[in-house]
Amino acid sequence: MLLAGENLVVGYGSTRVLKGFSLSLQEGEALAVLGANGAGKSTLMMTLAGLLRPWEGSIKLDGRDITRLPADERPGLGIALAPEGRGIFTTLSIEENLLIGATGVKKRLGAAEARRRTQQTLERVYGMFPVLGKRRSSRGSDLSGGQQQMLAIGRALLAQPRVLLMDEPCLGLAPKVGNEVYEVLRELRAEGQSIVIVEESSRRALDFVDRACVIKLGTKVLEDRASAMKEDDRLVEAYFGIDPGIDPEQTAL
Amino acid sequence: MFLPVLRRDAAPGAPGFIGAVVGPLLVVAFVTGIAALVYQDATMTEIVLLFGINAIMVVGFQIFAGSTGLVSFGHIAFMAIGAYATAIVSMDPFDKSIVLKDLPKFLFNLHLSVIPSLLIGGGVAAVFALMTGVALMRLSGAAASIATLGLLVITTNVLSQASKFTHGPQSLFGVPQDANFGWVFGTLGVAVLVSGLFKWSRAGLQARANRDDLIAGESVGIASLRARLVPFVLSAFLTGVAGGLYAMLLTAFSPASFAIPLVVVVLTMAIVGGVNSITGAVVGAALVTVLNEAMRRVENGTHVLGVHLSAPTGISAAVLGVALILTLRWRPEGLMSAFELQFDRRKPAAGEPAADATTTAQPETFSKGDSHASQRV
Amino acid sequence: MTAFIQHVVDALSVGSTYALLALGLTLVFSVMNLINFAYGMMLVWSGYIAMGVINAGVPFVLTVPIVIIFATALSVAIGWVAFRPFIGAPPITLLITSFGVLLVIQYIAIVIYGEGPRILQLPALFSKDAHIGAIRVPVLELITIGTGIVVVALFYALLQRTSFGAQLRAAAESPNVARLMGVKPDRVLMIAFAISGAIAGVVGLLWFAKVGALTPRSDLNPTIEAFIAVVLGGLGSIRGALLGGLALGALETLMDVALPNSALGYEQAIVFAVVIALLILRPSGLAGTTREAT
Repeated sequence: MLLAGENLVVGYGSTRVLKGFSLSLQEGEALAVLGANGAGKSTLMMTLAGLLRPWEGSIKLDGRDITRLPADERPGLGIALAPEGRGIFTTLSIEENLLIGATGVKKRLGAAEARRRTQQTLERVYGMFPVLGKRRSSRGSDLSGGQQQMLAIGRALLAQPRVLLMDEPCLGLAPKVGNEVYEVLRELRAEGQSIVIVEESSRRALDFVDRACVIKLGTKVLEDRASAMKEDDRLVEAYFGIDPGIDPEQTAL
Repeated sequence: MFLPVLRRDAAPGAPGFIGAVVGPLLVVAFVTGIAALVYQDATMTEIVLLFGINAIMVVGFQIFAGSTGLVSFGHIAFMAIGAYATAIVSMDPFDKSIVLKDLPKFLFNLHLSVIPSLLIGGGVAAVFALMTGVALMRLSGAAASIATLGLLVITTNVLSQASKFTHGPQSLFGVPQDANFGWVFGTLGVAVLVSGLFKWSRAGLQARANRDDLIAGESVGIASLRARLVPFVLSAFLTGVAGGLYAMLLTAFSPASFAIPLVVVVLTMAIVGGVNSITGAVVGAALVTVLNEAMRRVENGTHVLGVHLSAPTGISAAVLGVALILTLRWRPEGLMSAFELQFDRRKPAAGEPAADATTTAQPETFSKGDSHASQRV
Repeated sequence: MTAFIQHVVDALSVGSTYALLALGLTLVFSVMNLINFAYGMMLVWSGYIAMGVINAGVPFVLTVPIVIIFATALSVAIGWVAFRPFIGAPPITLLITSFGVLLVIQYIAIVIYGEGPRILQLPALFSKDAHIGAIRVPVLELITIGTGIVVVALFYALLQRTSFGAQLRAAAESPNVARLMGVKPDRVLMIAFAISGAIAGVVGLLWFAKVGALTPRSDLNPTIEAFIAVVLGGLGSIRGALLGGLALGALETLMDVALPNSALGYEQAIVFAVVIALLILRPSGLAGTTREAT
């Protein structure tokens, strides 16, 4: 078991958002967490990344309890989050944005190995996203939404992540661009990258992942292999209230 | 059966209102009683009276800070204005001929008794607050605080320059020494009464509702401006009166008397006691005064339990500094938090939510941000 | 004409000092929302250490680095002990906390050095005037301008070309995303305090070289000027801090020249009034910034 979150209870002030949520991720697996707005998806991501501390429950990476580990130490262990809204630093250049993703690597791998891997990954990211390579000295704010998402993914890769957490990567992006993002994710998955992806709309995510679970009002209401969930129209409709025959991504112009 | 109780909100209706106002008055009565006892010691008279005046200052400060969530570094300016205004109208023309001989005729000849003098002191401060508040109350947060600091600097600068009215940077002396126990602590009682009446009045509730809205990040519109202006002017009035009493206690002062050290003392009293509570203002003033007194004795060398303690002069400032830091770290809402001593018909059940219309939410102005809660990316 | 040039040099010299002060103040503000009311006291402490070192016979060339190292260490120590526990607190709390810190470190200075003025004895060079053609300019002013340029250049190099600098900028922009990347907020904060302290050391030397004497209460003037400069330029913006400092220098020099003698006493009041007006009309300051100290 690579990553395991057990019975997570998380909230703000006196409000509970996650009310006992559990998930598990095997090495090399891709897992989707689906849910409507306000269901608790982003809260879950932030808890796994360490920005929120759970009131109850635990998080284990490779069996090691990291529940209390501060957020800034998690990339060092191999958990990288590409946050909702991309979170690109506008005051940094594209290359600086990428390199800052590698901040935690030195501690884990040692200076020499870290340098080598960082250089290697940097070149690979520029290979995957030529736009970034061409404009590596421009500021992060000069990119389009889709390009920023690529940058966010690249930045996460520079942390040499064991688990890649993606929070709604296609939010605000045109459908065609969203598809490109998923292409990249497929490539990574094919290389064995373990991924947890949080999404509101189900279709593309279900095509991509091995397993999926549905979160509603802070609890897990459904979990299954993606292929099984795709077939189960009525279940999906019940939790999303939309006719799965209509794909929102394809109708958007 | 009316029982004393600590509550954040006021119980509904007239009895609730009265209970809420009477509570802090009783705290004042208690404190005044103790002060009267200490006052019997001839060496302590000035300290007791200064405490009373400081308490009025803190109550005045609290009216503003508690209603608006803004920390004013400039309130001492109102004290200065009150002091000078009161001095000018209360001084005997003979004394004026020595230090204020160039005063305009009608001011020169004014020689008023205590109450009108104090009222004028407060009044002039209030007018000043009204004029400057119209501009200043549009600002928020630390920007507002820095602007109020500017107000203090400007005021002392102008007072130093306007020699005709103030004797310039030199000491203005000859103010009638009319501040006695009765006037000071009577005024304190009135101040607490006014403060209580305001806090639970419509204007007070509106101001606090406005404060809580603004924490949610709205810009300052006309309604907000008005909501903030009322406590600003009211607190300036009380602070001005305190300034007048100060003038009548010390009988001599200069613009330099109203500088940062005084700001720090009042601020510490307010924060230690709790800026959201009138009871807190009085309690904070008392605590800090006791602390200061203790430090003064340590400076002069004293024995505690057989151990000789002594420290170089000025240690009270450092101790205040430490008190500030510790309070903000461990109990940023102050000793009393937002609680007031009140009288209620019955004891409320434990954990009973205050669901009525007079409820005010606990403000987060001084709480340390929590790294586990609401941090959105 | 010569008078005009002299005034310009005056303005630049004073402006450089204020610009550096504002820079030191803004740096820490951008990382933790702290408007440090104790900043002026850092200058005073630097002045006292300089005085002590010089009086001990150490040559001036060595005095400068010693003072800078001391100021850096003091700043980091204060940052770690007094301000680090308050990370995440609202700006007003931090401002008041800095008051508390000021009181403590001021008291220590009073105990050690007493309230009376002490003279800072600098090499004779500093009190001379330089003659460039028909223009007479105090050497100290030229040194101040030169130092200002060097410090700012070094600072930008640090900020734009090192990985600390990138971490600092990232943490200032989005502290949470920076943490997600593995940037340690404590480390970034201490680096900010260190740089801010070094700047205070430099400015302290320049400031008291000009003023000549210092007391434990000499902190008020630099602190207020720093505040005004920062507010003028826009809180949180480094460019704004520099602009604000220079603008303040220009404003003060202008008033020195233009105000009739009778009004000169009101100079401080007028400057603050201008600042307040600016705060109300353009709350984001001269440079404009997305960050607000609310």
